Amino acid sequence: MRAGWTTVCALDALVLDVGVRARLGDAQVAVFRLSGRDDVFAIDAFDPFSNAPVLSRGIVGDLQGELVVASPIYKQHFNLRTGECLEDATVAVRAFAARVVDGQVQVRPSSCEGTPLALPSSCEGYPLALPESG
Amino acid sequence: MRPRHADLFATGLDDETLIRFIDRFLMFYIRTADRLQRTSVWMENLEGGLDYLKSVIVDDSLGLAVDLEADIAHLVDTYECGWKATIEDAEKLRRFRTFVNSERADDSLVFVRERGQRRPALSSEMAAEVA
Repeated sequence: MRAGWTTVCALDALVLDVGVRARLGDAQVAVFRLSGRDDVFAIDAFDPFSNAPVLSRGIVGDLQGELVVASPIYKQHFNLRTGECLEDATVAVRAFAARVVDGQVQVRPSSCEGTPLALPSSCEGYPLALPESG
Repeated sequence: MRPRHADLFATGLDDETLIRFIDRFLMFYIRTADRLQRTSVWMENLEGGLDYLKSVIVDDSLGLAVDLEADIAHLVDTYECGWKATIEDAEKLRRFRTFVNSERADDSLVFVRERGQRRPALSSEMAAEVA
């Protein structure tokens, strides 16, 4: 998909501090709006640790001075601006430029910087396998 | 914790009395037990045991019966099913949409059948599916 802003939803379709998932071409993006802020954030919804598109369901917050969402599966934190994983510097999800224009949330599909998505070695097996106890 | 079948608490009650005693019993337990404490352990720790419990519930020896019943009535009157409340509230339902901009189902979910049941596909099976 070529550069350009794609409208994904109206701003008031976002629930404050709770992500929504949107289709963006073939991708699925997690879009966030945080209370007390006017901007919006969009990262790939696919969680590389659990192999499931669940990041829109994560809990948002800030950690080490960065706005993050925690994967609801294994709890790794992803930077909402850059997609970087705070626990594992070799892993990142795509981050997309996002903005609000005339009450509409727009995401730019091509803003991915081309960093190959590194998959963690632990991602084999069932997508939602529980961590081993102990 | 000692396993046992049951203790006989009362006999020959009409339905109304039975339910009233159960209400008192439950609320007395809720008020006085530790969190997640089993009723059997709770009762063993009660000084006076079953006889004491009978006196509280049946004979109202502590004068608590009215309070206990009022507490249960409050619970019954204010109970709300979280699922039902969500289904009936458009605002809450918004949180359960798969995609905010599409009604299509999530095609990234891949399932396989095993022993007659559906389970998430292994990543190797997903790769085979795509190939």
